[in-house]
Amino acid sequence: MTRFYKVLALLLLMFSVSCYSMPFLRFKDYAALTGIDLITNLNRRIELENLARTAQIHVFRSTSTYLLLTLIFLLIALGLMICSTLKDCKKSLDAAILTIAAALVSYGLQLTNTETSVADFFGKILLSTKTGNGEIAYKPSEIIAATGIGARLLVVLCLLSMALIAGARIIAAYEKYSDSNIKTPWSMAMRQFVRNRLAIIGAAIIILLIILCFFGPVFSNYSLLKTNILTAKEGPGMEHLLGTDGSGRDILTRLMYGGRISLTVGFVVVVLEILIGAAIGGVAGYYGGRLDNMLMRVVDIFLSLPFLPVVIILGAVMSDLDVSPQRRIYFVMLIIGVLGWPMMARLVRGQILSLREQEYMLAAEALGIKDRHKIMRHLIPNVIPTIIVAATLAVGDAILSESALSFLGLGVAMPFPSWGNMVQAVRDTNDFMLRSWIWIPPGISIFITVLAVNFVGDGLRDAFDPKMKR
Amino acid sequence: MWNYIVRRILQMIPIIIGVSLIIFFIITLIPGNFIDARAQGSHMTFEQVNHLKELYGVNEPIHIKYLKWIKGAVKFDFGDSFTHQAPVSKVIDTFVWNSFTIAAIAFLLELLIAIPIGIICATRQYSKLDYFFTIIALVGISLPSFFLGLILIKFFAVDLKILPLAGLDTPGSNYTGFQFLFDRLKHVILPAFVLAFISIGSMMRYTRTAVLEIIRQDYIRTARAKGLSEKVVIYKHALRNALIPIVTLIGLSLPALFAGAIITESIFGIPGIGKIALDAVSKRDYPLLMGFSMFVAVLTLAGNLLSDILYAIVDPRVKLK
Repeated sequence: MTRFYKVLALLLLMFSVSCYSMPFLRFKDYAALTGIDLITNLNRRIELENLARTAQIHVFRSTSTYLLLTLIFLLIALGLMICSTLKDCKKSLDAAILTIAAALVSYGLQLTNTETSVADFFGKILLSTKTGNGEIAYKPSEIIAATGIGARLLVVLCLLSMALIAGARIIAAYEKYSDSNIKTPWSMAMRQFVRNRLAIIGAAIIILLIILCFFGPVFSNYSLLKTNILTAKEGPGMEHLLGTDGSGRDILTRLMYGGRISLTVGFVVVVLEILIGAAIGGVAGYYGGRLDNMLMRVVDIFLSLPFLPVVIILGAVMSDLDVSPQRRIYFVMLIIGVLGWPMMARLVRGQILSLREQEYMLAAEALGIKDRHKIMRHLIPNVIPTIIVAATLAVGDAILSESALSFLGLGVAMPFPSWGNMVQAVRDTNDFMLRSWIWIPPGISIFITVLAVNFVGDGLRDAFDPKMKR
Repeated sequence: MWNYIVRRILQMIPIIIGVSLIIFFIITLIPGNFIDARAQGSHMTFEQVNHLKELYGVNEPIHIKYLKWIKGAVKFDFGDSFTHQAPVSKVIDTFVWNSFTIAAIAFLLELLIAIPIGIICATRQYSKLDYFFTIIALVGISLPSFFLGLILIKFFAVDLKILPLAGLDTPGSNYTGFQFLFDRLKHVILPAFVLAFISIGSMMRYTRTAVLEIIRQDYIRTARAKGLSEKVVIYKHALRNALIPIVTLIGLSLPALFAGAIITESIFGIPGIGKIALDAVSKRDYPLLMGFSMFVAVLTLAGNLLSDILYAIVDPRVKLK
């Protein structure tokens, strides 16, 4: 059974590598570019073959470094898969999953490289003109471009092969698990988590949203920022599935880009909170004494800061300092993260304080185990479940804070979309009352995302809490 | 007890100073000032502008400004609001009661709904009902307040036209007595519902956990073993102890009651302290912002203290030292 999966995954991987010979970018009146064209001409200008025989010469400057990286990862994965099918080696299977994941991440990074048009995913279209003294100058140009079949197929095939390999791996792990009677706390928690239907639904929604938001734009024919007043405020239909906004931009496309922002903010903020909070909380809890006292006073100060007012004032500061719309997002992450860490610090400190009193810590002390080992082997593994649960729930809070800030016009700024600032369309009373397709989808997206995150967080809390055992 | 309270209040002083320093620093980060913003487009002469700047002390260095502010703050004088042309404390006092009305209704709704449901969920753990309310609770926690507010306005005010769009009273109406109350209630019901719904979830979960914790204890087993009816076991023996942690939540809700809800109030156009604060941000009214932020910070600290005191009152095992 697993062998069948593996061979299928191997075939899919081969197909996905062959995608590179298919068109990645299509242009109106010009010949398409394949993936191989894009990576063999990195940072060089390719002259586009003119099909309409117009006088203009367009060139394409490829910046597809990540695309090359994706190909390398895919080839490594292919090698690993061949190795694992021949020798039935579990380690190479794990490595294959990781390399395909790396390939997908680097492809996703390539797709975030966009400023105005779809062509920006892979590079820039330039119009070449001759100047007076015979030199050739290049100007940015906007001809109609769309992603080709290769770029789209690559995503689907990669995801499918990864799902298949992961499936094979899970089956193998499950067989091993049901054979042995060894139960680690982690496997018990995992079991408890899998039995929680809501948590599984939540996890599935999150994975789906990540795939949709990061890889979805490659399937869209509309660009993120290009406005077209002729198609403004169109209702949902065949052309634009969710309609268009006040400037004629496709709402579904903007939703996907906005989702990238919201999800990234959620994860980055929480990583920040963990880094600062767990470090400070851990130090305070472990060393105690005056250091603890001092650090906890700082935590008290931060906890007494009124969150929303301070965030809003900082948002206004950003507007006044003329932070560019692209950069604002980083400041938003920083602001929410810096205001959120004290909760994490207090939690970790409390956990460490109670763990220090446990008998096994006394035993560790009596055995004369080194400080480093006590922290690394006895304390940290016991704090991690608390951190995971708190962090998951904090992702939801961070997404909500960002959307509120952007909704008030103080977070991510137009024309770059975030789910929060897309709801801002309600400021136009007519849009609010009559054209609900403009502002309801982003609101629902926020809700669904945060709900899914909370389902998972709730499930994790139950899974790690021994008292919740059924 | 009194010793404890006095000591806690003394401990708050460095925290309040720290908070005020941070907020003051952030506010001074904002370039430009109120006077310049006002002067643009108006017919003020250069001399007038300078005179005003001197009057409001705009050009002084930061530490002088801060010392001046804290000197006044000790005497509950937080300076004058630029936009309202009145002392900050008076502005807060004027608008905070609008916020309080809504928050109080929301809080009552929350208590009345969340606690009974939390108890029911705990007594029937893992039943269908428990699942249902767990989902409802998580939905409440996950809804962005601005979106919930907008959807409710769209549905009840725009489509069904049974509730007003915004504000606290029907403009131009001179209702008195019962009519006034009814009109006010119609305006207040939606924002109060939004506030209640987004916070009901956490209180429901909290109650559920508290009751579950108690139900597993030995004395409950004893009560059951004695042959007491389930009703008596739950409502007489378990509930009393389960309510202890819930009572502390009331103390912690102090800021929610008085600090206003910035987003909900601005969505519903309610002249509460939250909306005033948001307007103050866009108009760069620093004294009001500073005063408001400190007001919320003090409320938070007072709420923590209140919850600790309540804990000691309800639970005789807890001794405040």
